[in-house]
Amino acid sequence: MVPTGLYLHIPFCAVKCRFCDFAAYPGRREDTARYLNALRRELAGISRLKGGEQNDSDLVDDSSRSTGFFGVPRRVLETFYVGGGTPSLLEPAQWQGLLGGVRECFDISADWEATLECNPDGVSLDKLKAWRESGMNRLSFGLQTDEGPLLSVLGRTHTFEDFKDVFHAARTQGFDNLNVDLMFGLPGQTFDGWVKTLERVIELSPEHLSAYALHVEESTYFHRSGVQSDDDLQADMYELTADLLESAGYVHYEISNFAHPGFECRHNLRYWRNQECLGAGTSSAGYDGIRRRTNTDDLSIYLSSVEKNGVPDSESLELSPAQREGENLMLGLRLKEGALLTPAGQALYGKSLDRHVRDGLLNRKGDRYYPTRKGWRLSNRIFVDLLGG
Amino acid sequence: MCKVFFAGSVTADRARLSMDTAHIRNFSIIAHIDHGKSTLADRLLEATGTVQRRDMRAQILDGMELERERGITIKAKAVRMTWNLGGEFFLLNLIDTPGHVDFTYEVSRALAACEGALLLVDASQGVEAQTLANAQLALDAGLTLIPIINKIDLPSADPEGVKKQIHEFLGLEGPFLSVSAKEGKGVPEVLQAIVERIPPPTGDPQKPLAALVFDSVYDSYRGVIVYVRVFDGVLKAGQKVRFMGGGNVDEVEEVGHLQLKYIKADSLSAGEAGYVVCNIKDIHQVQVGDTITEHLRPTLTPHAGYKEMKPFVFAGFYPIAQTDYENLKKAIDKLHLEDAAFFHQPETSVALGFGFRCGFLGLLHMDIINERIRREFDVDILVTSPTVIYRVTTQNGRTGEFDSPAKFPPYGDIKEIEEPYVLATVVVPSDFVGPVMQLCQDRRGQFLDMKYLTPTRVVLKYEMPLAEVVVDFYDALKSISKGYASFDYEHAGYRPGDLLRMDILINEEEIDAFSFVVPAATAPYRGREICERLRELIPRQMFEIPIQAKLGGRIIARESVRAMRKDVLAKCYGGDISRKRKLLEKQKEGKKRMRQFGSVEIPQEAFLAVLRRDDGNAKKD
Repeated sequence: MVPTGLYLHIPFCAVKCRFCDFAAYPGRREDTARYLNALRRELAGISRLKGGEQNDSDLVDDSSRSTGFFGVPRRVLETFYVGGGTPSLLEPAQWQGLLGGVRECFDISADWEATLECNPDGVSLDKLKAWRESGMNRLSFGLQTDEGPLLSVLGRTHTFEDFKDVFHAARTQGFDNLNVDLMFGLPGQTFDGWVKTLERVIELSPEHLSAYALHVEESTYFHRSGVQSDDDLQADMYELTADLLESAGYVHYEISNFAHPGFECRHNLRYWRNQECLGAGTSSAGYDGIRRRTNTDDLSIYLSSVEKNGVPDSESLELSPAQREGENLMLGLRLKEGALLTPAGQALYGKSLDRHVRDGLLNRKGDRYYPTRKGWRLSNRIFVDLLGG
Repeated sequence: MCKVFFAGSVTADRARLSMDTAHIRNFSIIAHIDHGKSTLADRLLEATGTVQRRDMRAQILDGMELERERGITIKAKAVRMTWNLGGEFFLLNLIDTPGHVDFTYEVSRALAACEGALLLVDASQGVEAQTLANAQLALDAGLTLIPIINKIDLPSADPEGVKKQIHEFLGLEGPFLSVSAKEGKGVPEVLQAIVERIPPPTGDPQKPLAALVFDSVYDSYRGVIVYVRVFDGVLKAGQKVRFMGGGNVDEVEEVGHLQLKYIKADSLSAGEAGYVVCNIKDIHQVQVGDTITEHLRPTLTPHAGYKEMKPFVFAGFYPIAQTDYENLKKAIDKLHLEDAAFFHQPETSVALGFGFRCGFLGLLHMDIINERIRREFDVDILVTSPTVIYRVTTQNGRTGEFDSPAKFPPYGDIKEIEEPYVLATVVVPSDFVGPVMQLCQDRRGQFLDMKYLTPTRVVLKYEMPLAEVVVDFYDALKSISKGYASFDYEHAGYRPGDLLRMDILINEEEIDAFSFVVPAATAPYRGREICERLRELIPRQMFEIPIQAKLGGRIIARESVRAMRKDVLAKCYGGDISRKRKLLEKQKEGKKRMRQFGSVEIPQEAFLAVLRRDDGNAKKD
């Protein structure tokens, strides 16, 4: 049994948010049933593969090494994450079908962490129950901000009151691991406004908090309308966030992530520790330790390729040993626990890491490097030196 | 090098016919940029059957990719055509001239190789600065000018008005031709006029050889190919010849005619134009304007007006990555082989490391070399601000010439700085006279003269420091005149000025490549302006970076680039990792284009920006 994580992408939304550059198709919700069928087909394919690879040629019938199809070790899901888009839009029946598919294809660890991304509106009691019954045990709420005018600026359709209702309802249904996503550096948001937002959310005591600095991505509404981020204000907000949340008992365990001890997101830790992880659905990515494979983010192409070939069109990137070493460090240094420098990593990147130690971006204990808070704020300065050849 | 030759065998046979000088015409085309010179040349090549229509491509004489892109002729070219008029065959040698003010000297030498020139003027634009300057050069050289009005089919054409301008400003009488080079209208008439109105060359084949060099190109197989016009005597293979200006003696290996490719001939006789190959490997031994003669029987009448090719504008070329030094050296050596006007020598800058001091005829020439290094040799280079040659006299009376302010004697030792001046001619619609005069004054120009070309167009003459011209003056002029002003200049010697050297310190360190010369009167203002501009151009880094301007040992302006506080990708989950890698790789590419000074990274734009001005909304990027 090989432990792994699985990410499923649900690309449908009620509306597209103005900061969003994800594969999300608000206008295509009528394709939901067809998409879920394709997703189940893709899952069936993934479960029969060795590693995280999903090409037909990699189907294991390598007679010299195994007994064929049945020799493939079955994978057991330690973590499961359904993101989007807005997966909370799925109706209970659709949801049950999807989870049935997952259970057909994979074994599930008794203590798995199973997260669902959830928009604060459009969540009924029925849905919460269906999620619970299917074994989901963690919800991640895309609140972003509690300020009404800012929610409108973002193009969100919920209010803070909607969110609180859903949050409490989730608690009543037994969800004891809840995350809240927040954003800072939004157009029109003030430092004081952000302080109040944090205070209000801390009062609800979610187990986990993600606080993201707004990054104006190309091909978003914000980018087209010329929104520019104020880096100095964002830096101040970032420092404040870390101070406030740490004093409220949260561990700042990743650049943008905070959790009560023991509630760090195990699925995302797999990414940052650069461990094997599977992905299915549009734009999802898998990593088998050598290759990163990213599915097409085009819904139509996804559907037609899965329906035709059983596997979606995807882009595969095989990393050189130097790049893999660099990514281990790059991802690891996003974490408070830091990254361990191997002898190979030392040869490639030791000098530049030590330079960043001198500049106060990193700390070093033995062969382990730890980011400082300043290092987190300026982490790209560290990461550009870790790209490898 | 001309790569294309499609002329049929009949033409080639004709070309071999020996012609008496009465049947030869040597001519050039004079025109302002965009007035249609290359198009007319294309039509003449077609009409004479030198190039078949199906093989024609636009601007066939502009062989270099850059020439086509920029729509200008950089090198002089020559092409021989044959034309039958009334049953008689004539040989027409078109000697094309470079189309940019940087190459005025080459233009004058190419004109000196001709007896006549077509003066081509755009029917809607009228006479421009380059028309005036080049027509004057042609008249000075005693050429017969045939005025031709081009683009007569344009709705805005005003042939009568243009005729009046040509008449009043250049004193040209006689019949004007009207053509549309684009449509091919009026081309046979042009050919007829060339034969009938331009005098045939005179000269005596019996006399000692006198051949004027009007251009040269480098061929990696054959060495330097010299373009000549023979005035007296005969040039043929086996001859021992002397370059009278350069002094070198060489043996002629081959002579021939230029007909879009090299057509070997037995000899070139008085009156003819063609090429000579003498196994010369160094193009710098062949100076445009030089006279070739027989070694043992030299001519008594070498061509007057020979000047050694001298660069006027200098800049430092440095590899962005020091590991690219050898590649840059190879590129520069290669371009040096091909370009007699390109000067270079190794230079070491405290700030920039190893590089080259390069000299050019002008800014366009510099741009072209810079562009070719990037394109043809794929070397990323940092170009420092262009500068002129200053003459510096020290307190003890010694005078030296300096192509870089960084090399000046110490501040206290300098008694006087002199700088080169030019005589600038600007043609501008009268609506813009005010702003143009203001611009010239801001650039320390001395007003000399103003004349009305027409009731609505004015010719202004100014004497200006070359240093003011090389720094985006032309862009500023175009900008404030909405593109209508035209401009030309000639060199006018040295004048003393109240000049000071300004140094720039970044993070407390003097960056020698930023040093420049500034008039004392505007120094404080310029110091502030430059510090502000550098603050905008130098990206925020991990610590605060002070920028200071220093004048004679005293800090006169200070700005600072605040420390960068945030450079982070907030989200990085499974699907993001590959995407974020691409973003970081882009960021790394950007870093590569910057030079590291101690712990400070300075983008290359900063080096050119030092001298840039804000007047006339010149481009600021």
